[in-house]
Formats: sequence, C-alpha cells, structure tokens
Amino acid sequence: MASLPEGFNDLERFVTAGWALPGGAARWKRRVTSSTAEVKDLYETLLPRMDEMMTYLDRHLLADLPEADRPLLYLALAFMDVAPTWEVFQAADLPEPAFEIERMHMVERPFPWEVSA
Amino acid sequence: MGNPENPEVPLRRWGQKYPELGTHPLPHEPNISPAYFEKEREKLFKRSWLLLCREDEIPDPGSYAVKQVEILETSVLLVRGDDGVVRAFHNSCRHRGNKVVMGSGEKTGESKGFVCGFHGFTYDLQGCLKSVVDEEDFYQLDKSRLNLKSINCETWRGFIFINRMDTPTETLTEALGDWAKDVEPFPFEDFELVDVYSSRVKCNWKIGLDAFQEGYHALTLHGKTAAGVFTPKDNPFSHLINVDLFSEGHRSASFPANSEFEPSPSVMLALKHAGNNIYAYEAADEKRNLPGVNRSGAADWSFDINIVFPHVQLLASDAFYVTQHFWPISVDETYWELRQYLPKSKTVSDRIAQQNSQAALRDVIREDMVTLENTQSVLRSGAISHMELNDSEILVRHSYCKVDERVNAPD
Repeated sequence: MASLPEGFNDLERFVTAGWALPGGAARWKRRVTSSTAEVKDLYETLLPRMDEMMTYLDRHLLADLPEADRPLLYLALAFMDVAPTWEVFQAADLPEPAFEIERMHMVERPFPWEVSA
Repeated sequence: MGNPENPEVPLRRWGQKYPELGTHPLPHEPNISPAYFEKEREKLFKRSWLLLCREDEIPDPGSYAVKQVEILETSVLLVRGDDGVVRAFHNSCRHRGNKVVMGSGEKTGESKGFVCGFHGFTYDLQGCLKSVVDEEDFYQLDKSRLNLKSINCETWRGFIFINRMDTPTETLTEALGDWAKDVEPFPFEDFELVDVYSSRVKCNWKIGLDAFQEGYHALTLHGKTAAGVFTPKDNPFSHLINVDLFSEGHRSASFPANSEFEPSPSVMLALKHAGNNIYAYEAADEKRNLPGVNRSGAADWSFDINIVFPHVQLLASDAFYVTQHFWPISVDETYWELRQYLPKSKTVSDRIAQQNSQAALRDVIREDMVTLENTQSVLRSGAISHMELNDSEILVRHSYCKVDERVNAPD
C-alpha cells in the first residue's frame, strides 16, 4: 500500500527501504549505516523533488500536519539529515577522525510524533 | 601600544585592547595537576554562580530535574514549586542522606512531592519534610528543622544558576556584571530546543572549553565543512572581529562571515522555504539583526561566542543559539553536554530547515570534539609544558588568567 501522497509515488521505494523514520537518532543511524550508493541515491533523487515536497507539505502548518503527510515529511527530513555530510564529502558519514557516534548520547526533541519509541 | 613582555614585537589587535593579559606561553600544569584541580573545586566552582541549565527543563509546577554535579560533590534536585518558583536542593534525605530521587545520572519528571525510597521520608515541592514513617519511634525528631538542604538558586533570562556557598559573596547580577547587560536583549524565548548531546570525555574541562573559544582552528579542522563560511577574502584566517573580556571572568567574541560563501543546494532549499539556516548569514535575504549579538555592528558578522564563566559556552547568532557545558569530573575527565536551539518552527518547511541545521552542526561538533582527548592524552606525558597562543586565541588566555586568579586568591 502506498504511504506517500499522490504525486510522490515514485519515491515509495525510499519508504520501503526504511528512510521515512520518525526520530532524529533513528534517522542519523539509518544514514551512517548506509552504503555510499544508498545515500547517493537518496540525495540525488530527492534533491530535484524537495521544492515540490516542501511546497506540498506547507499546505498545513506543522501543528496541523495530517497523519497521511507524515511519511513525506520524514523523507524530507532524511534528505536534510544526509545533505550536509553528502554535499561536502560525498559520503554517508564524516571521514575519520571524528568524535565517535556511539559516544555521543543523543536526546531528540521537537515533536512528539517525530520521536521514535 | 608597546608589548611589555617583548618590545621587539608589537601587540596585535586584541593584545592592544587587553595588554595586561601578556603574550607569554601559558603552562599546561592547570590541565594535568590533580592539586590544581582540587583548588579549582574549592576556590572556584564551590564559590561561584554556576550556569546549570535552562528553566524550560522544568516548565511546570511539579517539574523536577536531577543533576549530578561532580565538581560540587553533590546531586542537585531542581524543582519548580506550586508557586512557580524554581528551587535547588541537595538531593539528599535529612534522615540518613540517601538520594531522595534515586539513580546515578540525570533525570527529569513531574511530581507532587518526593518520597525517599529508603525509609519513606516525604518532602513537598518546597523541600519541606511533611511526613515520617513510624515517627513515634524517633527520639527528638523536629520535622521543621529537617527540610531538604537548599542550594542558592537564581535565574537570569531563563537560565538557572546555582551557588554552593552558604552565603554567596555576591548576587548573580553582580557576578554576571556587564557581560549580562550586553547579552540580555537576545530573544532566547524565540528559539526552541532541537537536540541535546552528551558524553563523558577524557580531558580536563578547560581543554574542552578551549577548543570552542577561538576560531583559529576553523581553517584547518573544519577545512571542508564550515571554514568557507567564516573565512572572508579579506580575513582568510578568520580573525576575531570583536572581543570583550570582563573582569568577572565572562567573555565574548564575534566571528566574521564570508559574504561570498556559496550555500549548498540543501541550504538554498532551507533558505527558500524557511528563510533560515545556521550557515545563512550573508546568503539570507532578510538578516534578522537580533539584539544582544554582534556588538561591533560589523556587516560581515556570523556569530558570537560567549563564555559564561567558568565552564559554559553560549554561541549566539541570528539563526541559532547553542550551549555547551563542560562539567569537571576529575582532572582528566569532563561531562560534556550540548543543547542546540533553533528559531521556533511554525511551518513544515521550518521544521525541515531545522533538520539541515541540526545535521550541519553535528558534523562540525564531531570534528571539534575529536581534539579533546587527543590533546589530554599527550599532555599527561609532560613533554609539552606550555602552550603558545596567538592574538586570535585571546579568549583562551583570558580563561586561564581568570581561573588562576580565583585559584590563587587568598582564602
């Protein structure tokens, strides 16, 4: 069953591959455990679609976002999570040396429905 | 102005403003000496107003937070009472001293009061002892004298400070001095907390703080990530564009922005749909020009570093603010906690733009953090006895000077 709104069905494979995650920590983990090819595919496929995605999602204010739109938001967040590292290093994660992820205890905030259980 | 320590070499820009700090190499002893660390504990941390956290950690009556503050050798119980007032207590039962809220680390929650899990002594939100199990079996128990031991606690601009002295020698306002007057107008309330990171790091707390109070490292350490943003053509080494050092120990510096910096595609998306990004600076169409930052009014400004003496870094810009605590645990171990605040998100695109700023900051911080243990682990050898500091690192110099002043003050 499609989880993305009409017009974004071609991005469904990223949902199937587990990129549409609530929660920053899960999102970060999904990225750094990905292959370079996977992150490249996500970044390059979503980059030309982000304008459309953000415009579509902005039909509602964040607090009123319908549940049906959440997977698309999660994909947009996944794009923004991979982007800074990808745009500089063309990699899923920073090159060494960088402070170890396992030692960086992370507490995520923003919105209740964005925090993974 | 001449350089009193070396007449051959004239003082550079910030050295001229603060010639009393000198230009000599500084000893590393304060970073490796257990004796010095104990003096820091007794004469600095136990006698200062310390920035503990923000009030939003305990938003409502009954909200509480437990903070293990190793340098004060205590567990602090922060509570917002029914009257809305924030109070701090030693998290220690007046019966036999057990923790009233048990556990080893940080903890937050909501409560109507506190029951010691050992023998059931019960305290209200104001710290008053309300009931004792089998009270008749005690001999001279005067409950009115057995309230939780309070710790001096005051707030400024939503930040909670504590002071371990029985009677502080100065008020929080006095301790914050002119630094606070400069930063006071910054609209902290327009930002929301988006991420919290913490770790125990094997370094002295000052080694941690030092890595975040100069921009000299940007070109090298952040060469690929952030350097381009902060190195304008006419300031390629990212020299500080403003420095204010305060006698109370606090300090501020402003960093340059590169107006020719070309934002990445994802930053462009954030700017287009949400209007802000931590790397926006010159690229943003509408600069916000918030009060309480960029005191020199420079056009090519990116962000300010503030150090809230002795151990907290407060970064502030038009597009974010960040606090980093460097809580000393021992001479070579520090509890680090970073909190990132971004402009409150109203639209979905605001939220999406936040995620870009979150990931970008995380990368830069991980580059910074890797230097801390690397530095400490070789300092221990004693092979390098002193550090050389340039004019861009004057905040580091000020830091050691102010800590030393307190450590060596007469009792």
